[in-house]
Amino acid sequence: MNDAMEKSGALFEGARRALEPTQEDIDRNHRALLAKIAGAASLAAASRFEAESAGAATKAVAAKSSFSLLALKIGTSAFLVGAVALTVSRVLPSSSRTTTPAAGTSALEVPPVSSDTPVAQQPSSALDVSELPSASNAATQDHSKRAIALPASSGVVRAPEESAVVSDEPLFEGSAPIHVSPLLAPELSLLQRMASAQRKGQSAEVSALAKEHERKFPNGVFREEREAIRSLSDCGAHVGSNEATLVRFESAYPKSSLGERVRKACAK
Amino acid sequence: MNPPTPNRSDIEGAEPLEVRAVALEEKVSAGSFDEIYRSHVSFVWRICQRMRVPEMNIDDAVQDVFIVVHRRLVDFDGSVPLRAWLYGIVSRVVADHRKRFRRKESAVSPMDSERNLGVETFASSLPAPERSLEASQALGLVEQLLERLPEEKREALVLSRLYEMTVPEIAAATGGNVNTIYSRLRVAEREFEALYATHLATGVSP
Repeated sequence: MNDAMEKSGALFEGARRALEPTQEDIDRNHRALLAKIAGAASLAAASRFEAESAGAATKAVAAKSSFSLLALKIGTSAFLVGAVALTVSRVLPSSSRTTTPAAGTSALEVPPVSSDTPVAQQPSSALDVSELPSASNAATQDHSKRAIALPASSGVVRAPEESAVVSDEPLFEGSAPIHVSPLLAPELSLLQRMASAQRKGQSAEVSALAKEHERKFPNGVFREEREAIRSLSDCGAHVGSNEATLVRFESAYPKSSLGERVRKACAK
Repeated sequence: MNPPTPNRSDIEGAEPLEVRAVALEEKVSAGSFDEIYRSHVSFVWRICQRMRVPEMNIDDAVQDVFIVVHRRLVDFDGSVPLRAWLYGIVSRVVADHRKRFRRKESAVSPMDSERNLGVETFASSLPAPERSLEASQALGLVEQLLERLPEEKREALVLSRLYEMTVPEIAAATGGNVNTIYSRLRVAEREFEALYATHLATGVSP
């Protein structure tokens, strides 16, 4: 696994942690869920009992009424208990929640088809990517001869480890070299030429390379960087109005982390 | 150990028998409702969180999902992987919550709406305070970088890397072809890595 994969993997792991429930969340939710299901089941039972009783012999009218009423009361009580349990589970402070044992777990289980087998076994995800349809970029062909299977739970098939491409020079002033997959090397290379021309003040060359990038990589991953370099170049050379250039970039990429660089360049 | 070779039908784009076999195996091993809850509550929770269910409604949304599961488990025939089936339920439940949220919002005054139930609540549902700042920042950056990918690649990455679904599960959940998903995911991973590398290299905070 190369550096970019590792860093990206660690970033996703962090993001998953932000979405995960805590054990306390799980336990609280489980108790509330069981209470809801118990309440709903009791009400349903009461309704069924009433419906079945309606067809019974007329001799049992009095008994039926009292029994159905009783069943309904039981159902309603169970529902109320469920609602109370739900409320309590939400209102109680966390320390109280964690000390409350989970109740009624087994009573509500749906009969298992096979109780001995583990839940949701994951399939093996290994697959030789060389036999898969080609990816959009021809560069993938050279690097897909072997497959590395990730742990089964991820379901991701990795291409063989790819040697990272390091850019000769940074895209932006003060930024570090970039490591990317060979898959993206042609696009990055073009962008580097653009950045180099921009640093030399060759705005016509920047413009030509930007158009080449648009043509060759209409869905390129570095579109935002391309527009940032073009804006830096245009503002540096005062091609058109700097204000209009800035507005154009900020409208297209309002959340861009490169916005500050463009703003500074266009303010000059 | 060599990885197992793919099913021939997968390569040729025919019906993915492997997927069906796995799904049937899951059906057999699905076990009790309680086991399903314990095994998949994190999965469901993560989806609800990411689908912008407000923090205060997460419990309800997750419970609603499992109430549906409880009701329909007997009908689950294993024709799709269990997690793909669950994903479909979560998506519908979250959509329903959104509708209810909007109705509730339109029933209050604009001022109350802005103060308590603003439209942005869905768009700015943040992880609970107890979640670490680092994890929240990682999620924020992931979302920011994902926004730069086309919809299909973004979806594949989210299902794979945030929800940890397998490719057959993703294919079943999205109605896509297994091989297409493998290819799409691989390209999406490389593009995401490049975006992250660029982000790190430019040294600018999001």
